[in-house]
Amino acid sequence: MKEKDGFIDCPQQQVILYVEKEDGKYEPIQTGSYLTKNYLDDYELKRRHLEESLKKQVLSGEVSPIYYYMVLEELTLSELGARAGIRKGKVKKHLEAAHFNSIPRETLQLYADVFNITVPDMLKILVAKPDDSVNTNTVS
Amino acid sequence: MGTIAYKHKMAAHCESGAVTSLLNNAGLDITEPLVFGISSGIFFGYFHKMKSFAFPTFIVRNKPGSIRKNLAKRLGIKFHTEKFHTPDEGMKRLDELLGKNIPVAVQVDFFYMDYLPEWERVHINVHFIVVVGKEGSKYIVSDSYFPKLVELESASLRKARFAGGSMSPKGFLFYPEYIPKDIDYKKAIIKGTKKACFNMLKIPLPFVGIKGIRMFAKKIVEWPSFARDTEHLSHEIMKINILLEDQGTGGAGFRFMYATYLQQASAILGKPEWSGLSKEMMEIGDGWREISLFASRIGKNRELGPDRLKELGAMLNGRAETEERFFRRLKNSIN
Amino acid sequence: MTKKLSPELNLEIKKMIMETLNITDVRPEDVDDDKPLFGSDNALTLDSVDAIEIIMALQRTYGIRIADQSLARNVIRSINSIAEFIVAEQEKTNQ
Repeated sequence: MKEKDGFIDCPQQQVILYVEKEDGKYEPIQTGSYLTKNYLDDYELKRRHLEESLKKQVLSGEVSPIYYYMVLEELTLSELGARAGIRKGKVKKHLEAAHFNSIPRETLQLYADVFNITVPDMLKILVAKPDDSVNTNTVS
Repeated sequence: MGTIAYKHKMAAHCESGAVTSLLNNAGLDITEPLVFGISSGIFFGYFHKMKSFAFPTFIVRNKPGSIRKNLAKRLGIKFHTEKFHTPDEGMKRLDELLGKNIPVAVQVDFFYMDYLPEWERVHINVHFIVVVGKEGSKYIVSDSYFPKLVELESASLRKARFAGGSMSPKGFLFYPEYIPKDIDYKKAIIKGTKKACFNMLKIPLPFVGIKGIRMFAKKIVEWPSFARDTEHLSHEIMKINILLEDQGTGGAGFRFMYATYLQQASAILGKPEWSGLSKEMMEIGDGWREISLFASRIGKNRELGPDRLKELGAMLNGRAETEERFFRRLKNSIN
Repeated sequence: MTKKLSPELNLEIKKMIMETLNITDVRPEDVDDDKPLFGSDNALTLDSVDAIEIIMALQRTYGIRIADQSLARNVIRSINSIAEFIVAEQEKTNQ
């Protein structure tokens, strides 16, 4: 990889890349992310679609907000349970809309901490209209 | 509390970056490629089904923690390490160390690094950053993936250091406490390179090393069966580019860094043939780059039918063949 | 020291695995000797990455090399199969 081929102009996301300099020496350069520069809009489009389709499932009573965030954050049931400190069997129940209302507040907080949102954020989806945007990954 | 005088640098990879950064700041003039190469960082592993991963994935570096451990062993460096039972203990100890002007590397869940844009952040418990100070409720952090020193809220660092799940950090921290005056780099380079060749060629498991690349090539055509829909598949295929290139997890990125290691090692060992091998490794990296560009293209265009995936598989097999020949030659050049 | 098939050897193997993988929340007595190590109902919840570690640890601890990947799969199938392999390998070296 020669330096001129490796350089990408993308200030939003910088990476270090080892390249061949003019004198043949291999050195690190600071350059931009190829994927972010060229495909961030596609990533965001897919993300929006996923959020919308998951929101629809929540609003139609198929799944709970816990399911919404679990899928968005690419966690498996097992991993979510381990991170929240909740037994897998319980997590499975919590993913169902029918059981969501019976989850104690402290338990909701455990999930919220994993998802890096607040409990009110999590509950927002239940009252959102299908075309409202829902903030994900806000810092609590 | 303030900030320790700390020279921040970006790096290709967080673990080798954090280790290099701490050692540099402690007075040892070592490069990230040497750290990576001596610790046998280069690797390949394909994971078709794992309970902790939502989708098939692969790794291109050795097990997290190995870079630090192998480097320490091979260079005679001692790292002080600690784990904690509670977040309170872990944060208190961090503050104590910072109060003594000791910069500390901590293991964290990447997801909580709020200074990075959302699209970059995923739940992965094996990110390493160096904490160099504290101002009020914010910690000053040196992160290999960010251009300069940055602030992170105490609450976020606490969550990140004590995230549960697989490979949970448990507040793990480390810093160098002893660096020998005389280091036998030649011996360390030989050992590190030998082990890398062994890892790529000889581990008797079908999903690691060269066999792992072949398994990836074979299994990629099954990826559609794991996806919810085309957009999900597109997202995962395009992630190949990220895993290969960005955030220092990269196959192409690591191959380029390994080529740099071989070039630097060639000078240290006085082995001119390694200079030729380093050029080859650079070209191998270019081949991986072709793959990551291809993956991002077919992902964006939603061209994800069996023919395209077979094509991707064939490119991966190409890497397997080339790397197998390469690592055999590298191994033979050591003896 | 020559190893013999015994509860002591099995315990030793379990401890080696748990130490290598840093498993602190399971007791050796909860690990079934004959259950598949990589099965979903094993007390030790192991995955592919752990397999690599175990193979390397067996090499380090007992000096045994597993050259063949289908052999590897059979060796690390369960605690008992690991024990049988260790004893068999030692008998080979002693001959």
